[in-house]
Amino acid sequence: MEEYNIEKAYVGDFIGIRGTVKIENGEHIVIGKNHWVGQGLETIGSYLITNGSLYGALYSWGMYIGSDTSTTTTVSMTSLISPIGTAPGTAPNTKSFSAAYYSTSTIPIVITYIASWNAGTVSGTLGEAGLYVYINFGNVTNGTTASQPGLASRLSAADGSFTAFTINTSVALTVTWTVSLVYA
Amino acid sequence: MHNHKVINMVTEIDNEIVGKDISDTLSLVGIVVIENGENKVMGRNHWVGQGLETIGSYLAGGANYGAASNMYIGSDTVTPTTVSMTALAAPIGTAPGTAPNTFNVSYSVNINSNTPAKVLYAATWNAGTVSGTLGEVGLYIKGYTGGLSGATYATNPGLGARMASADGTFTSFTISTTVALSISWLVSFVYS
Repeated sequence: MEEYNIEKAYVGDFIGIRGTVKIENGEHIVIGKNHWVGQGLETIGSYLITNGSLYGALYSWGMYIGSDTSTTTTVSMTSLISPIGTAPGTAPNTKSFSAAYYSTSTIPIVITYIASWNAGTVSGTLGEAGLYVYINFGNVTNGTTASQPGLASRLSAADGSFTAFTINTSVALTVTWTVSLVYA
Repeated sequence: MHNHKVINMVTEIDNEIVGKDISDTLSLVGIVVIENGENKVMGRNHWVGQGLETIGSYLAGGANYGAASNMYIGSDTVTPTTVSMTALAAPIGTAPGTAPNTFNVSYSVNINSNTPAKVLYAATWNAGTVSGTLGEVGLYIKGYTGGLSGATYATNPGLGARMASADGTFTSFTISTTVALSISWLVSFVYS
């Protein structure tokens, strides 16, 4: 699934955090690269500065989909433009994640978030998807910041990341969001 | 102000390395400035495996601890940084090294700038508290290690990033013990 080809097998100046999204809905299978928004990097920054306990990104997380096809992702975006269902959107019926560290790999860390909506639970145009994680800001302690997950990263048709399609309501919809940490 | 000076110093590098627009990749880059009287060096850090792992632990964890950082220095000038490195090669003082007399962490966010978020670690050793050759410096951060799934939380900070003269990042020098030694380690988040 990882489409990037610039990983280096040695220690680098940079840590790159990338996201690749795969959407499957019957005959519809699309893959694209996500766009990180400001909240996404702020919450990682809060981890680096905090000396004490704080909630991790998965303390409260979710994935939502929307129908917008014309609004490009911006740094200041905090939610999907047109969520399907009541904001922040219709929650998936199932969600799971896995994480692994491969110390000798060119892609040392892979975290996979998976969400599935049962057939018929969502409908309309699928033009955007969002990875929502628990957002911390600055130097925090548990419970002092966000009370619900916020948009960290977005995949949108408006960015040219994939082609919007009409959801097939007779089959399930599954979104697999793979975040990789690499030396770059 | 020392910190302000450092931020100004990295502006040129920022402009060199960052994308101006939101993009599909977040990058963390560390820039280190060492000041010890007439000795002034600057370079980019090298991240090691533990550094990635602890950041990954945040993204894959529900409950966590902050990075709880610290900084140490060493005298090694021949050992390049490797992914598996977990400590400085030759710390000055008893391992993990002589702790700085002062250590501060600050954080700034400006999502509309080229470097939307910055974390600045600033350490100072008083004059005479450390001596010898300065050939390596390490940013130590604490987090979950051991493969993320079922990982355990480290009781002490471990090496997350290193700047080493052996990597060709800077030229080692003999510490002047008559003046303080200050290190500013700026980790910037950039879209790239």
